[in-house]
Amino acid sequence: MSATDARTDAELLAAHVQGDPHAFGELFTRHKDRLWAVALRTASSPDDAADALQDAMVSAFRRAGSFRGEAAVTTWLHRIVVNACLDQHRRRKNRPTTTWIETLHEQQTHRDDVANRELQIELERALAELPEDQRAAIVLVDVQGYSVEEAAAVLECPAGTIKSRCSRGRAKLAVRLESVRNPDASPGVLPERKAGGK
Amino acid sequence: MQESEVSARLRALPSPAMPDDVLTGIEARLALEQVVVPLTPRHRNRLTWLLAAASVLGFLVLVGSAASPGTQPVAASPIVRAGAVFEPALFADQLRARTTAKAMTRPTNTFADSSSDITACASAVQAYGRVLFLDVGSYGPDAAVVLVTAYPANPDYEEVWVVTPDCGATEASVYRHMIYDVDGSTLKSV
Repeated sequence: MSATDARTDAELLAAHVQGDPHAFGELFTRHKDRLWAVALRTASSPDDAADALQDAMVSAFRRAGSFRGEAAVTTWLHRIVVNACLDQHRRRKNRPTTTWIETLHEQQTHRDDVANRELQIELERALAELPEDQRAAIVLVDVQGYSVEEAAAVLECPAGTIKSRCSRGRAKLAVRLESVRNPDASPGVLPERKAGGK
Repeated sequence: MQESEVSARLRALPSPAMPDDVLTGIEARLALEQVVVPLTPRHRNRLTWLLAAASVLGFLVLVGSAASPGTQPVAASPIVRAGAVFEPALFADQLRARTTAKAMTRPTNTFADSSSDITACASAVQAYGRVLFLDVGSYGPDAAVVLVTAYPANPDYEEVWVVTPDCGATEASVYRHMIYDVDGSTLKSV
């Protein structure tokens, strides 16, 4: 919540629907960094993330009147952003997805040791290459720290499905990171788990 | 490597701040949603309505502002010209130059010299923001009226309309509708 506006997210959205010209901007300002973080890792590139986030915000702006309050406003916003990013990602499926990752870490080089940075870059690269359902679940739960239930509400699927997607995604990431840490080890074959859920 | 370590490493990934250009673009786009109707048939109807509603008052205001052609324009008065040849490829530079070019210090044409339809058109556009500049000239190969208005939601931007010369009280055909970043001298189509 910003220091300049004590209204809750729901109150801001309602005020926007009622014609308050500042309410939606306040709502966006309040959540922009988390929305950007999600968009950046769900879309294929920073440019796509920017386009998708802008589309999503315009969509939310226009559709605010359809918000019924079944979920938190942030859940609703994240849902719109994730869907916009996944739509964008599907449209650009054949485009390389990893060229931006080094850029993401450039600012950190001064404080990270080389090995750790290599692991981070490889982790980002592997994350970008996960199937989109697993990537979206992991971005929300592991990277952004949402609960499984919150992620399930954003992605509109059962909590068990989120757990399954996260587990399968983490297993793939673990193999990739292990190969970076021990480059001489056999990469092996990653088995697809048959855990519950999708 | 255990899943728990993967989770820990994922949690430790950096969270880059939203770049300023992304933030600016989204804020401008949202501001536009607030104050401007998109350029589609849907809002052409609204523009037509505004044209009719604003024509009488706008005519009085705008003609009044151009009633003394020998005086230097003041900030509140629009710059009114005729005959400029705007090129789409150079449009951003030409918009920037309009505030510094010598010809801008004195109108070469006024609303009093223009048809009342143009006046009504400008009055309608003024419903979105104060008219800063109007030129009855051409845009690329087409005769056009270029209007620049203030952007109420953000003083760093201006709104640019390129419309057909028959833009008037009952009809408006819009060639282009853009947001002009004053500091960056860049244009973004709406």
